[in-house]
Amino acid sequence: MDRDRHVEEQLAAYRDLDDVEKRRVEQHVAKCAECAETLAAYQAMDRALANLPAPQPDKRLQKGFYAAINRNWARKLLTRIRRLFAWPSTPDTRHLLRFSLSLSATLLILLAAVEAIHLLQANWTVKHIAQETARFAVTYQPNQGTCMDQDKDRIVEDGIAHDPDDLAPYPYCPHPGYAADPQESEEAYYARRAALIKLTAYKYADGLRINTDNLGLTESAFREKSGEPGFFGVRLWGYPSFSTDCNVTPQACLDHPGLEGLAMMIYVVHNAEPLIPIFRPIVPDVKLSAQAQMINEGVQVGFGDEIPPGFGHDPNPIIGPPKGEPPSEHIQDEPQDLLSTNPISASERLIPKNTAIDLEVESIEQTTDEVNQIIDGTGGYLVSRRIWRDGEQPFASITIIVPSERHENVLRRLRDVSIQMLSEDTRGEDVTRRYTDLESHLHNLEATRDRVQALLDQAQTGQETAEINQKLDAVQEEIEQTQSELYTLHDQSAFSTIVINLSQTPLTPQSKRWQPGKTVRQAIEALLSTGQFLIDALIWIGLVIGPFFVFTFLIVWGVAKLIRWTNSKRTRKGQGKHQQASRN
Amino acid sequence: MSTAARDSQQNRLTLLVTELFQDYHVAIFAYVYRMVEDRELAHDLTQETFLKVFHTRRRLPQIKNPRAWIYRIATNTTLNALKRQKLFARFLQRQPEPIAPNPTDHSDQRIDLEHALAELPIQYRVPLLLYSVHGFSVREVADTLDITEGATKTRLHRAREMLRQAYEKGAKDG
Repeated sequence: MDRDRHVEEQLAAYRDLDDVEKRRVEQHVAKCAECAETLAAYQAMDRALANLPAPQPDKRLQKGFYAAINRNWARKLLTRIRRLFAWPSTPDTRHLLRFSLSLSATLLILLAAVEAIHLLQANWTVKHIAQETARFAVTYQPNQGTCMDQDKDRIVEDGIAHDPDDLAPYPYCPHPGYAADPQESEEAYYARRAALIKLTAYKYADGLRINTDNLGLTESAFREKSGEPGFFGVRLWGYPSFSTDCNVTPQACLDHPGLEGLAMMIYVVHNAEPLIPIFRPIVPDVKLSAQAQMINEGVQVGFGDEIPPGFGHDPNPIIGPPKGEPPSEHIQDEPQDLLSTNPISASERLIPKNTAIDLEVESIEQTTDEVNQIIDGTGGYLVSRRIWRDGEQPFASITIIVPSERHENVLRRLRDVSIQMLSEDTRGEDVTRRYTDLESHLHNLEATRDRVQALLDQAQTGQETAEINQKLDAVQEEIEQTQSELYTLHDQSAFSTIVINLSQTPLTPQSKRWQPGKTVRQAIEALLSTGQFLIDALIWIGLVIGPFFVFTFLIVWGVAKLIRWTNSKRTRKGQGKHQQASRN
Repeated sequence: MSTAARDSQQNRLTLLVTELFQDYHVAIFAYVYRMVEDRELAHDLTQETFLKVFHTRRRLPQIKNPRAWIYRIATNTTLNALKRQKLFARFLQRQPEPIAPNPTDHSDQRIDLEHALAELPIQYRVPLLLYSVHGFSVREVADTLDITEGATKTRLHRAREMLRQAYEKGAKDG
């Protein structure tokens, strides 16, 4: 029976039997009808199975397979990247070069990533500065008058106990010697507020790498230095009245913090220098800017449901910075040292000023129109205007008079409309003493006239009357002369004269000389700076991160040692107990 | 090995895999189909088989019988898929898809044979498919399924008996 079963199995694999096995099976089959039938059935079954139609795959099987092996790009890319950084197994120059290039490229990409993060941070900081400065500008509005003069005696903090200002708390003058201006003019007040706002913006700029030689916290400094690397500058505009449209006459709104209930706008610019020196010759700086506008807190006046006017979409409605070289002379009349905490006070003396200012402008014609606008806006007068040509170059000389309190404002606006200021000369004559003397003399003359009038009333003879009248006429004449002189001095000090000399920028563009030697020098300096930067970085990593790793390693090693010692001690104890037990 | 030589070898191996695909993908599909009785699943498993061949193509130069190796991958891939419970349930419920009729064959007999084949348990069906349909030798079947030749013969015997009984039963019922 076992042998038959075995034959049955051989029948199932009859095709593959060796000759010996096959002969044995055939001998058996010849004698066994059942096995013969089984073999025949198996062979028929094989034929039927072999003839079964093979299910055919769809074409998508091929497409899918080839697409899948082609999608192996990620693996190929990784393999290629791995090969780029594989240390060459043979000292082949080509392989070494490839390895070096790969390493350099990777390093540069890493440095570029660091630079990108730095610029992103600087950009966010600039936006934050604009927003917070606008918020400060609209919420902090100091009182006009740097100190309050309670008794209006124009004496603030004279140190004498009887003066009530000496004993008054804030907002009165806080301590002796404090620079005060209880009669602060509107112009000076708004200028003080504007300066404080810009100073606040600078204080917010802690996180920026600013070159303090390139600060633009005044309008003239902004225009002069706005192209320099590391520059930080602030401009502000505010609505000075409800009737002004700052989008039409932006000059009227420049450096004004805005009235209560009206909008103001801050514009902050920073030219961020690259952190990594190697990028500086390629990109000396990246200009980052942001603006923010807010409405000054306070009572909304008039207009019901109407929203106060705001600023248009033009982020910088004033023309751009001047081209060419910065001015050679420093302006003496500009507010100096805005980082000082003491505000500058206006003079109460009578000093009629005369200023001669030379400006280089883009267009004489356009500047002449702008001067007319300035005169109209400040209540001044045009005295004379002369335009002429010297060859192809046009020139102009315009003389204007403006109210004294607007003198500085007008000069600032004239500088703003020019490309650069070539020179400025302001002279003043202090006529205060003369005015005071004339006032005293007038009082005396009026007193004399009164006495002479009294004598005339007491005259008894005709001759006395005639003599007294003659005297009275002389005194009256002198009074009138003195009054006339006083009016003249007053008029002179009430207005300032400005002589504006204009020259137009030549049309021929200045070609820049190509200086390859300078470029080579700058590139070498950048390379050396980058090398120093990388070595410094390695030193930092070695001294700061290195000890950290060593410390961590020591702790881990110590813990591992402790565990091993504890385990071995436990094992020894166990062995000892076992030995003790077996001895017993 | 230099980069160029490495690239060249990779390209050669990829070419070899594509040649193997061209030679065997139809047969492998038919084989897998007879195991799972589901066209979609058979497509997926066939593609998976050849992708495995592609990803392990570095071993190709050492393989003496690539055909058997591919069938082995196909068998293991399909058996692994079938082991999942859901697929077993689908297998038990699903009827074999009809294949396009061949006018030279007796269609009733063919369908009975296919049904009988589909009825076989997987551990008997696979060696029978390899031996009778795909022309493997007993040794090759044993190598593919990682069993002894004796076990292969035993399974073949049982597979044939079961198939014969199922086929005869089907013929009687029909």
